[in-house]
Order: sequence, then structure tokens, then C-alpha cells
Amino acid sequence: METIVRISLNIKIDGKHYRAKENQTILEAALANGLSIPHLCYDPRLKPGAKCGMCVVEVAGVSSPVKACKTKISDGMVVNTSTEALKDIRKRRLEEMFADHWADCIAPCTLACPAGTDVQGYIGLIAQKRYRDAIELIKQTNPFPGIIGRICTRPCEDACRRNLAGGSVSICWLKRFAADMDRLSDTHFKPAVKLPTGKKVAIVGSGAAGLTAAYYLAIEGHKTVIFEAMPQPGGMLRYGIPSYRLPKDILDDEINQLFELGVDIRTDHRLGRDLTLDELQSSYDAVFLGLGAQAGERAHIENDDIKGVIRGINFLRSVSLQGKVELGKRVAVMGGGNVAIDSARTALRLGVEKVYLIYRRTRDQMPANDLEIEEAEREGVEFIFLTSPIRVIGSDRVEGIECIRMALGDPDASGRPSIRPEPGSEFVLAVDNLITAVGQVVTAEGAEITLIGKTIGINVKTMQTTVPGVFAAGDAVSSPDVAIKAVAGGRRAAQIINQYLLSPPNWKVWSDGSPEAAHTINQYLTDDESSGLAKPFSAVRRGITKEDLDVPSTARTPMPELKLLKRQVLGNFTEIELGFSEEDALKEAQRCLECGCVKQNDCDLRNLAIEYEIEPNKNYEAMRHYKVDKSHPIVLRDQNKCIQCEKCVQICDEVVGVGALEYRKAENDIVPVGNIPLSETKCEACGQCISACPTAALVENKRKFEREFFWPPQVTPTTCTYCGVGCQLELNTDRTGKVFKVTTEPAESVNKGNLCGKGRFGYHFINHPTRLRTPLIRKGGGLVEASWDEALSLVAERFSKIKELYGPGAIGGRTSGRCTNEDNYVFQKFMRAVIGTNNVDNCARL
Amino acid sequence: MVGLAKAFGSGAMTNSIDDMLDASVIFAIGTNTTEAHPIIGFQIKKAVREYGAKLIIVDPRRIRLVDFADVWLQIKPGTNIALLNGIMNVILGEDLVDHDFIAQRTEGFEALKAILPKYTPDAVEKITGVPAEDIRKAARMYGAADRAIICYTLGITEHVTGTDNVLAIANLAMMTGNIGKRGAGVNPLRGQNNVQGACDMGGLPNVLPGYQRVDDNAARAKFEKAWGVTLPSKPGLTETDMMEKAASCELKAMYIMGENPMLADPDTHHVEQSLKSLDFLVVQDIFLTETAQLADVVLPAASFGEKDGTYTNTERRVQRIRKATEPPGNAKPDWQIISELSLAMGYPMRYNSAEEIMEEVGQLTPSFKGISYARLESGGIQWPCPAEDHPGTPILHTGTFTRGRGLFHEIEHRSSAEEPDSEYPLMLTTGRNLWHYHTRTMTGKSEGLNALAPHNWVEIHPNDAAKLGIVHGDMVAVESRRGRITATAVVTDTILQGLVSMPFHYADSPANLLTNRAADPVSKTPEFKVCAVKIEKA
Repeated sequence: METIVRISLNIKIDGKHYRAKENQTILEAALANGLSIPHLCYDPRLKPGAKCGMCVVEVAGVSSPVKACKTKISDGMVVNTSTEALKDIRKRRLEEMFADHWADCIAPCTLACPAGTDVQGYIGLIAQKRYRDAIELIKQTNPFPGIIGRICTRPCEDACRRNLAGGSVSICWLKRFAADMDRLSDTHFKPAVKLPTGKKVAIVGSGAAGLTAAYYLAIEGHKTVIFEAMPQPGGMLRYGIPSYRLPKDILDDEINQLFELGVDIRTDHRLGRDLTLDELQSSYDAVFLGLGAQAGERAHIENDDIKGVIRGINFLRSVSLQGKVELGKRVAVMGGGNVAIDSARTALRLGVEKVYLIYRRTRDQMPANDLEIEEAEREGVEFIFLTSPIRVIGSDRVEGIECIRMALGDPDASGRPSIRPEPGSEFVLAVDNLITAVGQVVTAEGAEITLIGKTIGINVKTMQTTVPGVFAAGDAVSSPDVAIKAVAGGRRAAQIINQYLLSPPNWKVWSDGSPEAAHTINQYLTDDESSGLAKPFSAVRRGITKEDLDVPSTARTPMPELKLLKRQVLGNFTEIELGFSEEDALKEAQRCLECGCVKQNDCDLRNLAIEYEIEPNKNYEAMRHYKVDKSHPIVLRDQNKCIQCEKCVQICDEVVGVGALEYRKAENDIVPVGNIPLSETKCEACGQCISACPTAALVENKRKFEREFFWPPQVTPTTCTYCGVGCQLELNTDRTGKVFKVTTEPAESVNKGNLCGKGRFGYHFINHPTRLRTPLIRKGGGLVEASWDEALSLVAERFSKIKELYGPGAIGGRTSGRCTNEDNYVFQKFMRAVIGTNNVDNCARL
Repeated sequence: MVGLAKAFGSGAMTNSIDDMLDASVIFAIGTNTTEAHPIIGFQIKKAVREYGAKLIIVDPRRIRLVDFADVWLQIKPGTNIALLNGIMNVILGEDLVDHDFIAQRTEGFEALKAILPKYTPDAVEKITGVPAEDIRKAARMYGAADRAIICYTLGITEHVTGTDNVLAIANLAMMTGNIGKRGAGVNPLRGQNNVQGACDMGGLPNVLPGYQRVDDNAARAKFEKAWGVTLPSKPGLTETDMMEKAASCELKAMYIMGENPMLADPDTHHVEQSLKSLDFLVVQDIFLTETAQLADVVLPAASFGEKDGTYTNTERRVQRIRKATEPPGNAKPDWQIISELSLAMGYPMRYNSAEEIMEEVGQLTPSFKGISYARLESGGIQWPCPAEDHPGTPILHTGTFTRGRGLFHEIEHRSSAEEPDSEYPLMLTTGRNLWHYHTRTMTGKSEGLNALAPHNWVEIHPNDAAKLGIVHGDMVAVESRRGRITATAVVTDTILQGLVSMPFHYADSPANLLTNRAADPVSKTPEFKVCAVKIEKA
């Protein structure tokens, strides 16, 4: 490497002039000038492999695109890096890679969550016993884990891969566990609130959507005031969900956290009665409507307007407000959703002797939670399936209901079997009350905004209603849906409102009739759009089987419950699910399969796929499924994620000089040489292949959950502490201060981004539990803990005494090639200046 | 280190790691580079495969680098001087010497020249076991190279002839003019992250920081003025001497920081006896090591991930370490503990940060004058760096040697202190493996690394194994005059017949229970690399 005179050349990239060094490739020249050309297989440590094809560029005068990684620049060269043709080439190349990329970027539970909560992350944090951190992570997307952890319909659990091996992870109960742990902790999580912005936001309605919007707006530093029509905040959470499912103290606690953030809640303020939208708009910079769908829908059966017929939601609200509602001895509930089940079980608790639940379809098709249905059965609710009430019997009050049996037919448009009444099957059920739970509708009284159909219309992108500066989300927009969707909508609205408040000039684009501002009828929206959250890009292991999972089945950890027999239900509104013990939770967390990719936040392939809008999961039937190879103690191989760029093959050969990996063309696979276990090859476990892999096909083989779930981690550049080469590396530290990974940057340094196994994997000692934590003093033969004062006084006293008796030469010091220059300097200074001897040496000679 | 200082005036690596790529010949002697310095191992392989360098390996074992070597001299341990003199004999005989360099830059060549004739390749073959033709081949290769770089490590220094071994290497480099230019030099590869720095900072009994001698009145006066004390002018005890004096109760107390002599020093029983003879032992460490368990007071220190500071690497490059997390419990950075102890003894050291210490180093040490934390932010600096605008020194002795002229020494072959005999018929040499570091207090905490090499082993030649009825995988007992340990037998023809080899990392099978504390008379480095043992099935 003689110093050669580098001649500087002129090149033009994407219309701009740059200087570059002779002998550089186009890619090197671009990177040196701070420009980025897409690439996956380029690595300054390696010869250009030119496998990935992402760095194609156009060079003036050259007929077809060239690869920037292996094309040298010449003086006056004109390069284009991002023409449509090039983008097409890259996109096609990425699609080829994704045609055989059977992998999960994001875990299916997280993808299934309407709020996008990082489920895998919080389970991992629970497994690390970091409950406060788990709550912090959850509250990035859902401020009410105690509430949602009790009532959620858990789409995450339906998506959980554990369903193939013993039943889904009890995700929701784990969330509730973390929330309970944090709630009872002295150091419970409080989000940081930004400095006041001087902006004010009015929120109408304190249900899940309104409370959520308030939480995130308050954190952003906006003065947030909630107006609630009812005497207490909570909306459906308080007035629609019985307290045996969601105790009021839990609800109160999680609402009270809003006060800590400076949110003002004004109850008994009903829009249209106590205030108007105009008034709000004139006093506040933005208004959010979280009105909910409060009105019970009419069942439309004959004679349903007589006394004794109650709408389910009104029934639950009255019980919540007054503690009780007068019912007869026999009650029929009509409907198959959670409101129906809640009504039936509440009726039992009020002393009703016989409760029927009448549903027109089968049990399998009930929208209510399975667990709730089971509980209702156990408590004595009698289910009558494939039946519809058609007429209420009675003149001034209910005496009975006439029902008709239903028969199942061919599937309808939704895929469910159609149902039709069976003529002649009518029968009469003698009851004193009929509670109808067939849905709720939005009432937007006092809000002069456009209802589209039965709900408030908003712009999908802006969450804005027809009135500029007025936003809406939750059931009022979506029609009745689950609480977690209202949480998702509230958060999305808060993000938009925050943008609106901080940059109103830009906001005009969205509200002045531009094409983007065109309002869309909300029922035309897809699920994703109506929740307001864009789904993250993710490859998904579709078509997965139990064999693919390759884990033994384990059963769900059961939830300890208050078991109520029929006779014990009366008057008992105590919470039924008692919550996991810590032992339960830790055991259950271990059932998580950690489907989401360890490199989901820093994967070169995923980043390019997002940029090029790749559709990841096409043709999944044709994808190859590989077992993840964890047989090597340090290198984990997941060929499912391999894009055959051969960087690992190259680095093991070109840099390490070992050549433990090979590319097999016939199979298009990269395998240990000879296709034997990696641990039986010449592999030196340096992890250079891991550092080169642009995806997660090669990663450190770690214990479960040994990673950080907050992104990005703290990265500290430093010098390796092992041999004398002094490699430059980065310690990655998690929130608890645990070093969990070592990384490198290919850069001008003694090691140029390379490391050996000790440097890359020998970091576990830093946070090891056997580290010395406190001074020790020998007493009575053993070493006992002592304070610094005690220990240092003792050392000072003994050294002084020995020096006095025998002279300074009777004391020797061994300093260390393991410590810093500064430590060594101070040590020898101490020996010489304080003890007064040159008896200081180090193991340089050992 | 002492050897190089005598020959050149500075004991440090003369060149830089990157120089490997400029060398036309790499001469690696007594260094298992791929295991102990893997990144330099990468560099050597690259030099051979991509830059056309020739590689000469001197090692009694077929180490991995032999696969890349042009010549492998499988030497009998403890015969380095004979081999090096044999090489010089050929170079002299075939007139491959650099006459101009010798005339202009060195002194004492005639004396060396006088002793070389008897080291004919044939004579040397008898001592070293290396075929005469290979000696000639290596000599021609090294002697003819325009740039030849020598690397060595403890395989050279850990002998009773350690200093002489180094002087012989220096002779070889000087007589061929391979000093003071790129791609050449004499390069001891440092085994520990900051063993270079520990020496640079005056962690030696005869020198203050920057190798300013304690018996140099002017140097001492400078430090006395800065520190406000009178300093002792007589050189102190070396580690080896301290252990002897402790055993004889002349040394009463020791303060050991960041070392584990109970596993790292030779002859563990003797170490234990020495430490137990002390009236008072203070150990400062990050773990309760075997040594700390003997202490009267144990002081908990911060690890490299928990403090700021600098390390100096093997090529004299001062580089930053940075705090990535808090120390556990009440543990503190070493400098802070020492400062507080100093205060408790009535001498306040008022440092608020590691950076302030480095500022003081710079004021008192000319070779560090130009080094500051601010400059280190943009990368490491190789000392000497005498001024703030000085770029640092990648190659030493370019115009003149640090001592003026390079000094040849006439070095004769001497035997190891303990050669095999009828009672202990095998020779043991100790070493390191790729996955562990020293006494394994750190690497032993990494599950993955541990799984790769969980237990100790002893490498033995198939012929020796057959004689002893030992098969691959047997548990065997290895015994010397000082102790007995057990390990798994690895029967391999990569090792010289009559020689066995063990790593010294394992506390449950500590090789240093066996080793000999006989030391080089000048450097006081013990002879870890040679002792006599016998082996039987356990």
C-alpha cells in the first residue's frame, strides 16, 4: 500500500457535479460524496460481488445500465441513479428476492393488533422482568393496557403462531399483568410531557377514542380539555362494560393518569345541551369528536315498544349509573355480541332467576368472546341458538316472546352460512323482560357535521370531518367496534391534530378542496384505513405448519378465576379474572415464539422493500421452508431469509481466510462447506458473516429475548478490551444498561469493521451477575461486604502502618495491561508519590 | 520489550499493522496469530493471498497460518537463538546483508559477525530439529526481500532466553536493513488491550511515564515538581521479584489491580504461597478472581464498558474507550478508587475525569504531548506525538534509532531451564485458544464462546500417545515437578513429537500449576513456554 498520488476526477451524478478519486467505482465515489445508491451486497471489506443488482445506474454513452459497485469512474462521467427504468430493474430484482423470502419481519400478533402495539416487544420485556418498560412500550400505541388487557377481543391471539403448538400465547393477560404490576409500583411509568405549545384542543367524549386522543395530545404539550356528557368519564368503558369484567378502580386509575399529564376533564357537559361546536371552535385551536355509538339500535320486532323491553346498552348504562334496574324473574336477551352476553350475565347478578340468550345463528358464529360465552354458560345463562324473536307478547308489559327457529343455508356474501326462518317452527317463551342487544348507532346531536349514513364522515388521510379543524375517530366514525380500534383511531387523530397544530400552513393542503382533501364515505374504507393506521411493511410466513415451527406443544397458562356457580352469581360484581401471578406471567411469556425478525429495524432488504413498495407475500405456496439452524453455539442460520448475495461466503474466504461457507448453484443455497453442520467446518466463530449479512439469515445465536425491544438502542463507539490490536467496535446498550450486542462500522480503523469472536461475542461479562458490586473486607476468615469508607480507610491505615514499620519498599503494586492509560498512570503515581516506592510493575513480561 | 529497548532504544512495535500489506516477506516467529490476534491474522492472510507476500512461520506446532506459509520451520521450543543465528549465518554467507544500513545506522556488527560462523545450517538442524535446507530457504527468502516484516509474541519472550531471543531478532532485522521503513520492522504483537499503555504510563519499576528513567535526575525532578513530592530514584522490584520477596516475607503488602496471578503466573503453588505470606493484600478487579479470593480487601472496579479512558494498542496507537453503561452496584473506575485511596492517605489527587489525567500525562510525557481527547475524537494517534499538530508516528527509527545507532549483540544459544529427562520425558508448552482470553474471567461468561471450548485439553503427537496407550479423547493427567492437572487428550500430528501443548485459560485445569517460574535474567519474564512433564491416563 504505497502512497499513490490520487488524481481527482470530475463526475456528474443525477445532474450535480462531484469530485472523485481515480480508481474509485461509481458506488464508492457516490458514497464518498455522501450520496446513496441502493445496494445490498456491497461491503468495503469485500471485492465487488455484484450479486444483488440493486446498484444499477445509467452512464451516459453506455447503452445498458451498469452496476455501480464494479464500474470504475472516468473523468467527466455522467451518471444517473434513479430513472424510472432503473427503479423498475431494482423493483423486479427485489421481487425476485421476495419470491423466496419466507419470513416474518413483524410478528403476526403485532400486525394483527388494530393499534399496532408491539406485542412481541412487550412480551420480551415481561420475560426480562422489565414491567415498567413493557408498559412504556405498550403506551407508545395504547395508553390503557389495564383496561384493554381486560376487555380486548384479542385479534393478536387469533394470529398467534402458538395456536399451532398448544394454543396462542395469552397475550392479553400478559398485557394486563404488566399493567397491574406497573400500576402497583412506586415507580410506575409516566410519559414525558413536552413543553407547552400554547395550543388548546377540545375533546368531546371520554370513551376509548377521546381518552386516547387526549393522552397523546397532552404528551405533545397541548392544553387538552375533555367534555363528557355523563357524570363520570369513560364512555362505553364505564357504562357499557360490567365491572365484573372491568372493575371501576382499574378504569379510574387509567383515566386518572390523564390528570398527571395536565388533561382537564369536564363531566356533565353534553354537546348540544351544554355547549355547541361553534363555541368549542372559537375557544380551541382544534376539536376532536369521540362521540361513540351510544344509542341502542331498535330490534324491529312486533310490539317491541311496550314496557319491559329494554335495549341492552341502555340496560348496562342504567345498572352502571344506578346500581340496579327492576327486572322480572325471567329475562330473554336477544343478540350474539358482547353486549348481549354482558346483559345476560348482569341480569343474573341482579337476581333474575332465568336468563335466556337467544341468537339467530350457531354458537360458533357468535361475535362475543369465547371465554365470555363459557363464563355465561357456567353462571347459568341458557343459550337458545338458531332462533329469532318475532313478536313481543303482552299489552301493557311483557308477558312472553314468540320466536321462530332458523335454518342454515348456503354461504352468503360474507362467507357465513345464510339463515332463513323455518315456517311452522314458532314457539312462545314466557319471560318478563326482553333485552335487545342488536347494535348501537351514533348520535351526533349538537354537532353540525355531516353524517354519512349513520356515522361521522371523515377524510381518511386527515381524520378531519366536513368542518375544518374538527376531527373524529372511534365508534362515531366506524360504527360500533372494539375498544382497541377506538384507541388506534384516537391515537392516529392525535398525531394528525398535532401536525395540524404545529404546522397549520401546510395543513391547508388537506382542507381546501385539493384532491387529497376530498372526503371519502367511511363505509367504503378498508379496515386498515378506518383504523387510521398504515400497516408496517412485513413479509409473513404464510402457510406455516407445526412442522415449520419445530417446537413442542405447550398448554396455555390458565388464568386464575373467581369461579361462580349459578347460586353464587347474585349481586356479585367482583372481577372474575384474577390476573396472572408473576410466575404465571414469566412462564407464559416463554411460550412466545419470537416470530418477528431480530433485524426488523435495521434490515437492508426490508428498507429497500419499503422504499420500492414491494408486495412481499405473493406466491407463498412456492416458497422454500427451511428449519432454522441453531446447532452452532454462536452463529444462527435462517436460510429462509437468505437472498444468496454471498457476502458471507466472500467474507469468510476473502477476509477471514477460512472459507467455511459455500454457494451451491444447483440448489441456489448457501451452506457450510460440504453441507455439514457449521460447527464441524473450519468455522472460527468470528461472526464476520453475521456482520456482512444484509438480512437476518445469519445472526448471533442467543437465548430467547436477549435483545432490546426499544429502537434504536444506545450505541457507544469504543475500543475492544481483549488483545492488543485495539479494534474499534460499538457497544449496544439497552435501557437497563445491559450490553446486548457488539457491532462495527466498516471504517478507516485498525480493524476496518472486522472483529474476532472474542471481540464480537465476548461482551456478556459486562453485566454478569457475578460482577463485584461492593468492597469486601476479610473478617474472621471470610470476605464480607463493606462500604467504600470502611474499605479505603482500612487500606490506607494498613499501607501507612507497613510503610512506617518496614519502609515503602515493603509494599509492591501490580498495575495492569487490562486497565486504561489513565488508571495505570494514577496507579504508578500512587505507588511512587504516595507509597514512595518504584515497586510497580505489570504483566508486560508475563 | 527490554531486548528491543537495548537494541533500538524503544521497546515498542516498530511498525503498524497495516504494514503487513506492504511487506514482501512476513516472518512470524512464536506467534499463533490467528488465535491470539485474529485481526492481524486476517491481515497476514490477505498479504499472502492478495499482495503476494511470502510467509515464513517458525512454530513447533502446525498452527493455522502454516496453511498459508511458504516455509514452516517446526522448531524445538527453546532453540530460537540457534535458529535465528543459523538464518543469519546463511544471509552472511550468501551476502544478503545490507552493508549501507549497517554502516550508516548501526554499531557492533563485527562482534556479531564473529560468532555466526559456527551456526551452520547443519549445526543448527541438530539443535533445533529444523532441516538445514529449510533454514537456507527461509534465510534466502528473508534476506532477499526488499521489505521484510518480523512479528513475534510470547513464543519468543516467555523463555529464560527471552531477552536474547529478541536481541537475535533485532540483529536479523538490522543486518538486512529492515528497520525504519514501511513493510518492515520488528513487531512484538501485544497480547493485552493495554499492556503497551501500562508500560508507556510508567507501570514499570525502572521508568516513569514515557520511559523516563527513575534514575534520571532531571526527569525525576520534573515529576517531583509536578506532584509536589520527593520520588525514589532506585528502580523497584519486578513482578517476578515481588513474588519471590513476598515468599521470603521481605515484601509485606501488595496492591494488585486488574491481574489474576493465581492463574496467569507460573507455578501456581508458589504464587499462592507468596500471596498468603503477605501481611496485607489488596485486589482491585471486576470479578472475585482466584487472586481476589486471597485478598484482605477487595475493591470493585468498573469494566471497560463503564468508564471513559484510553488504551494504547500494539502499534502504539492511543484510542478512546467510552462509557456505555453504569458500573454495577458501588463499583467505580480504577483511577477514581486510587484517587480516593490516595486522599485517604493524605495525598489528594483531584481528577474530575479521565480526560484531566490524560492532560497531566501530556504535560509530563514528551511522547504524549500532542495527544488530547479532543484529537482522539477523530481517530487514534500513534505515539510519539510530541506536538498538537504532529500526526503521530506510524514507523519508528526512520532516520535514526531512538538510541542513536542500532546496537548489535552477540547472542549465543542457551538451553531452557528445564529440559525433559527420564522422569519427566515430555516438553510442555502453553498457549492460548481462539475463543478464550487469559484466565477466562471474561470470555468464560459468554455462553457461546464457552460452548466452543468449555474444557481444557492437551495436544500430543500420535507416536507419544501410542507409547502411553492414550487415544484421542482420553482424560489424562499431566504432571510436572510442581503440580498435576487433568485434561482431555487431543492426539494430533500438528505438534512436534516429544512436545505437548495446553492452553492456560482454565481455572479447573490450570496449566500454570505445571509451568516453571525460572525467568529471563534481564526481563524477568518466566519460562511459560518450556517445562518438563509426564503424562498418563487419568
